Amino acid sequence: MLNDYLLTVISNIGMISLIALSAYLLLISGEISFGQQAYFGISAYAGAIATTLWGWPLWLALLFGSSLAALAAGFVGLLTLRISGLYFSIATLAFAEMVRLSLFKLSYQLEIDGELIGPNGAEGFGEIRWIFDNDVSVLEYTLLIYGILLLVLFCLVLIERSRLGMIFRMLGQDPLLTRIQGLNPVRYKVTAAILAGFIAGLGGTLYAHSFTYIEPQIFNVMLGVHALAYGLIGGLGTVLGPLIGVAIDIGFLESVRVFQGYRMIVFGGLVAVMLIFMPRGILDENRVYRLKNLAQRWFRA
Amino acid sequence: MTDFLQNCIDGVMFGSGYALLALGFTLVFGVMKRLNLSFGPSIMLGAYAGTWVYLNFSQNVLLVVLVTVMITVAVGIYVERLCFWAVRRDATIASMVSSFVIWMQLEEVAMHLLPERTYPFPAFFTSTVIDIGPFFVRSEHISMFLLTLVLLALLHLFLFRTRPGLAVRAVSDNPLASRYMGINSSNVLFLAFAVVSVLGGLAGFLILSADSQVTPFFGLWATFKGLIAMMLGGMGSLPGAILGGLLLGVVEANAFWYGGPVVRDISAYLLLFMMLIVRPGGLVGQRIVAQQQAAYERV
Amino acid sequence: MLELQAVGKTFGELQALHGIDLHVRRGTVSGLIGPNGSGKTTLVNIITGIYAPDSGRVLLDGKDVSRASADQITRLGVSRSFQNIRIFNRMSVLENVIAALIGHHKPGLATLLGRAKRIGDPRVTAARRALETVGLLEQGDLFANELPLPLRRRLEIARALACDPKFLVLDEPAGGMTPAETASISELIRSRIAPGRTCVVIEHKMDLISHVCEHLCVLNHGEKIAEGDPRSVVNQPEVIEAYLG
Repeated sequence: MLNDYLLTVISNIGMISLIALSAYLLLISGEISFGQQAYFGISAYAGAIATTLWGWPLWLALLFGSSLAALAAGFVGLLTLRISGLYFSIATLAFAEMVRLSLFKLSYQLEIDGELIGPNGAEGFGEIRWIFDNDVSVLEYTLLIYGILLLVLFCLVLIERSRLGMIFRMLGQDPLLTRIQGLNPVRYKVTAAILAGFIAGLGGTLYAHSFTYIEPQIFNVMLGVHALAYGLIGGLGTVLGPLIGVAIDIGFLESVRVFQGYRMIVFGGLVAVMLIFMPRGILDENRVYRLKNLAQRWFRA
Repeated sequence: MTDFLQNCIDGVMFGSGYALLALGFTLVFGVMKRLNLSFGPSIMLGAYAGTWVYLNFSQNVLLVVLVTVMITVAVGIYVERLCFWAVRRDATIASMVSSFVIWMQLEEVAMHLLPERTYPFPAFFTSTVIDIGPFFVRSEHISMFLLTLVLLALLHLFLFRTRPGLAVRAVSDNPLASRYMGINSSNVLFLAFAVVSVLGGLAGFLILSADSQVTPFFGLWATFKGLIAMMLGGMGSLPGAILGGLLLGVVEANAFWYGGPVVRDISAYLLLFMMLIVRPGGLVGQRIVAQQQAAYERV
Repeated sequence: MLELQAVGKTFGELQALHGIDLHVRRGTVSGLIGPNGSGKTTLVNIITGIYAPDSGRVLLDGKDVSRASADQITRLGVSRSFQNIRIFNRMSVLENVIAALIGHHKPGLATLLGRAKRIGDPRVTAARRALETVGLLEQGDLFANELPLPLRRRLEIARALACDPKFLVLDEPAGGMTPAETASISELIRSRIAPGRTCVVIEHKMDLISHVCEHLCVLNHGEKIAEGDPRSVVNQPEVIEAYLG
């Protein structure tokens, strides 16, 4: 049977996939965000405050946390995306660190059932008890995570096939040429940033409620590195890319005990070498297109 | 008022270190129009190697400097070959993300070398306080400032008085034209990384010895300060990097004096975001942004 | 249709254009020629809004568009091709043309969320028609970077043509092509593209220019040195000197 440890690993994969998908959405639009962890963190705190301190239901907290994250992402995007992509990259990194430092200063505690509860700077934010209060088992919560992940995947597949998705891909290849097609690049890049912020935010609130304890240190650069690397390993040609990346890292590297303590040395080297040979990942646009054509021919036959 | 001026003096002294880091980013950015996020961590690994020698072998400060710089250069070249030279020219995203993951790799290597949270870092000069009228300056700060000036002068000589320096400037000005002129941009990239790593190694040494300790956060710290100072000045501009570094130093010194360490750290980010709103191209960058835009959109 | 009044542009020290006046009448094909570095592409970039002119005005149908951005100008019915071919490399040939049809009216939410390659979508039909016009329909499913160079130029033309622009700028449509390919492109422009449209064609190849253009304008060192009927213009001493000297 599935034990709780295994379920935790599985649900972890689901939540990390969400932040990987958010980084992926920006990558296909030609923007590198080094700071998706900020939106993950903002939403984790906001969502947890909403359920734990204000007694909101989870779905509302999810919406609240993710919207806040999307708002922040839109702010950073608006400031920097009109200049050049590199400013956006640096600004996202700076924003993420600013958020992390601010979380160290965030103290907002209320007395609930005779106990002071809420985020308290470096001590973090514990007692996020929504799961226990509502008698949700680990299995049920994992299913919830995967339900949301599937919903996000479904929406992303729809976007990929839509004209909006086409605009994202156009921007990723040649922003000036996109402008010449009558589309204002800033507008759609900011749209991509907002959507990505929202998706990362979904992961954040889910994360806070799954672990019941969060601290600023969780949302550091390391999380952002992984989010970016997953999309690029798996491939930028399809939404399945980031999931493949997550599966390779958590499924393979995590399980091989030999790498313990040398995890980033192995992972970093692996990613760097892969990017030399496959700069847009395993399933890049070209391969995805060929696979699609193959599948079509196979179905017709 | 005296306090404020005193802060400004301290800020300029310390800002000179930021300026060196920013120059490292700006030079490499100029040559390849990409960011090398591993710059800070490479310096950290160099400094860790220096510290390791200092703790295990020799108390000779010059040897520590030498090891720090040499390892920084070696790591810099490793990053250059792996993340930039080997990656396809049109794969900007791949090489920048690659330098981002190598950052984590370098940090882990450093942690294996010296696993504790802090280590003492050797000081180059003994610390004394020098009085100048109503103000005072710490000797290690003034030596850092003076050495930075010397390094800047050397860098200027290299860039404006030597043939390799000319090649570096030519490639950052117009990569295509310099390729037609027969300049091998791959060699120039290598050279730029080597020069920048020497600069970074020395800057790292100066900053750490003024601080007299080294922690695993130094890589992150150096990357951030360098990037922010570069953006404040204007991406790709050499004078901008120096001005940005000094501005960052002055603002941080004042923020620290009036608000404490966390306010200092946050002030750097706030300054950056304010600059992005008010003057997105940076202090001297407006022209450069326009140029880059033109080069990038050259049709 | 298009009117340029004393348009000037400088890049740093270099004065790329000084005081260009130009008038393109509706329904005509005008040629723009000049030696390398004479300011042709700069002029096109100003017309299409990639650069803003430093002085002077650009009027499109009597409306001042000097400060309009490139995407606004495209939505006014101007489209163009590029001298150094620019296509979306990681998309199929058909998708490249569909891409041009999304933004030519400001897309609303429903348009954005609609499926890009839905069969029966008017955009897909229009894209196919444009591909057929330039003779690329069979290659529609190829990845754009698999096309050989002459076909990439045709793809650019198809993309510029797809949204049925009022005003079309072709920047060296026969650049890098063999004489046979040039002849075929020039016939394509004359018989399929020019009728009923206002065009400006930049080209070095005189046979193409004399085959398609009714009006010719010669630039040198950022100044207009001659203008008029193609046959008479190319025999003017200033023009011959600019090209030979």
